[in-house]
Amino acid sequence: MGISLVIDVLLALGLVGLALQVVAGPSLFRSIVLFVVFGLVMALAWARLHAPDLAMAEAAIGAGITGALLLMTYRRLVELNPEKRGETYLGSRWLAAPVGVLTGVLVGLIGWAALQLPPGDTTAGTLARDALDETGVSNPVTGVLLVFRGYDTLLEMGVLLLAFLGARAVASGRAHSPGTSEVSEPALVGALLSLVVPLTILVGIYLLRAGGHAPGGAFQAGAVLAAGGVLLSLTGRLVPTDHTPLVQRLVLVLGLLVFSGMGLFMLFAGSAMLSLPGTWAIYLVETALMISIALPLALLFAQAPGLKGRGH
Amino acid sequence: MSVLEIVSTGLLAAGCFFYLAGTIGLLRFPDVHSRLHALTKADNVGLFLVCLALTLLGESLRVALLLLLIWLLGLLAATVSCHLIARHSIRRKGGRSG
Amino acid sequence: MTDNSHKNHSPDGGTQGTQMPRSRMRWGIQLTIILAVVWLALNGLSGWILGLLVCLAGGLAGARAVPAHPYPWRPHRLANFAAYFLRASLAGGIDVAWRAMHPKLPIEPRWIEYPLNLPPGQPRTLMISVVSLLPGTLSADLRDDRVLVIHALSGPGQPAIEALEKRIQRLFSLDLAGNRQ
Repeated sequence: MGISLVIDVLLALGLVGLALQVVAGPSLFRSIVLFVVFGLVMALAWARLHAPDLAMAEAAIGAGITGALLLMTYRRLVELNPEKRGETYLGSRWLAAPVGVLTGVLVGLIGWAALQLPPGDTTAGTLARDALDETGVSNPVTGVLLVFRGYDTLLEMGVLLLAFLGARAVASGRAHSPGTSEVSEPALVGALLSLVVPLTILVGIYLLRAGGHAPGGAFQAGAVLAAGGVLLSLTGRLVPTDHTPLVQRLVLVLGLLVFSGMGLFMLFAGSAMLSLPGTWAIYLVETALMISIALPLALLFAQAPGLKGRGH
Repeated sequence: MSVLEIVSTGLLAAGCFFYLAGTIGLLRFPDVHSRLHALTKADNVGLFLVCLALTLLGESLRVALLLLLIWLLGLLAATVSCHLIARHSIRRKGGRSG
Repeated sequence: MTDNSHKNHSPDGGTQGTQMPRSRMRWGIQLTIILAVVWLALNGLSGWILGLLVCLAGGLAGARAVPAHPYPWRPHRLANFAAYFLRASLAGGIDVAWRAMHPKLPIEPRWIEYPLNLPPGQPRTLMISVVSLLPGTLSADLRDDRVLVIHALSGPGQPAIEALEKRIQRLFSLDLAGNRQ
């Protein structure tokens, strides 16, 4: 009990300290790097709270992909405005203290209210846990994401697609390769790729399959695959295309199509909208979700409408 | 605590000590390449000791295999990153400093 | 993963065909086996069909991504090398930890340029990686595809590097000039 408390207190202090550094730090680059570290410490915090799915998602998406996107954005911004390198954007400084106090009070109120709630038997969480057997999966997180709160997941896919379309709309006309522009590739990179890329595929598919009964699922798997895409893009193995190829267009909407298609089919077949007819349906939808999450994330990083192999 | 747990705790403490030493090297060494020495080598040993400690606690072949994989992948990532940073520091910044 | 035949007739200049040369296929097969072990460790025997597909796909991806001239190794020498690797890694870590924590900071940073006697591919990759683990040395750059630029923090440096090169040559059955025996 004693050691756990020390670890938890250290984690909490670390989170607060890192957050302060991110927000009030002297340089933007430093803030980005510390934000990635913050994501990793947050993943540890989720693990301490016995939420391994969230911890994995936080590490893969929050620290990994988001970190890569932020660094890529920073590099692009510095290219566009070299004179502003090293600057930190400070809005109105005098707003900082009042906003901080208000936010702190709000969070404190919510926490206090949450602590006041009686742990009853009729909270949504308890009901969901009791009804878990009907979903066909034994991982409660997957059950909630795909069965009980299917609409949320469906709309999240829509949001991701919208984000990609928005990025395309803003970046139109500039096919910018984020890979290295050096003539010779550093040693060790080829060896790294030949080991890591296959492992990425394996881990991604394992996470997808394991999501039914253990921590894992489509989001984590999609993030891992996207990280593989980021690596290939950075090392120049995948280069941007001018337009999105047909297959990639299909993949971008596949998650939405499969999920909503199945949901509508179930509606016409007599049961509720978005109810899934069995475990096989859950895995089908999750597979579609996984690749529909991986591709837009990789494309967002590459700032490209599509990707193709280097030699083609 | 059983003998296994005592040994594991000792190994964990040793691993943390190496991570600490690596960070101290990061703070004390004068230039980029020297700091890379500290980070890469000390952190690798730290990771090895932590993985070893967890293998003893895991008590199954599956866990041992997975921890071995974790150690190897950590080693790979650290080595490649170290080389890339060192190379960038020489080539781009022309920093063949002391 | 037992592979004692290096009857690979490809010239030392490297394979340029677009079909999969034997050396790449060999790496693909080795990788498939490695992936299979990992999948089994993660999943056990359930879902083995999916696992088989994944490992084959991964092996294919790895065979395509590997740089040219993968070299065969001798598995029984691998154990010997692995033990050395572990010893060197521990020695390196202990050495740098001691230097970092010592009040007087006993380091003498300097550069060493070492022309490699190893062929490109796995031997070179291994050399560059392990140099970074040895006490006091760190591989920083590979110039002109031949000369390894090494940053040394302390200690003898050159003899240890030469000893490592010899070990790798033994592992891959190469002679002292880096040619296949």
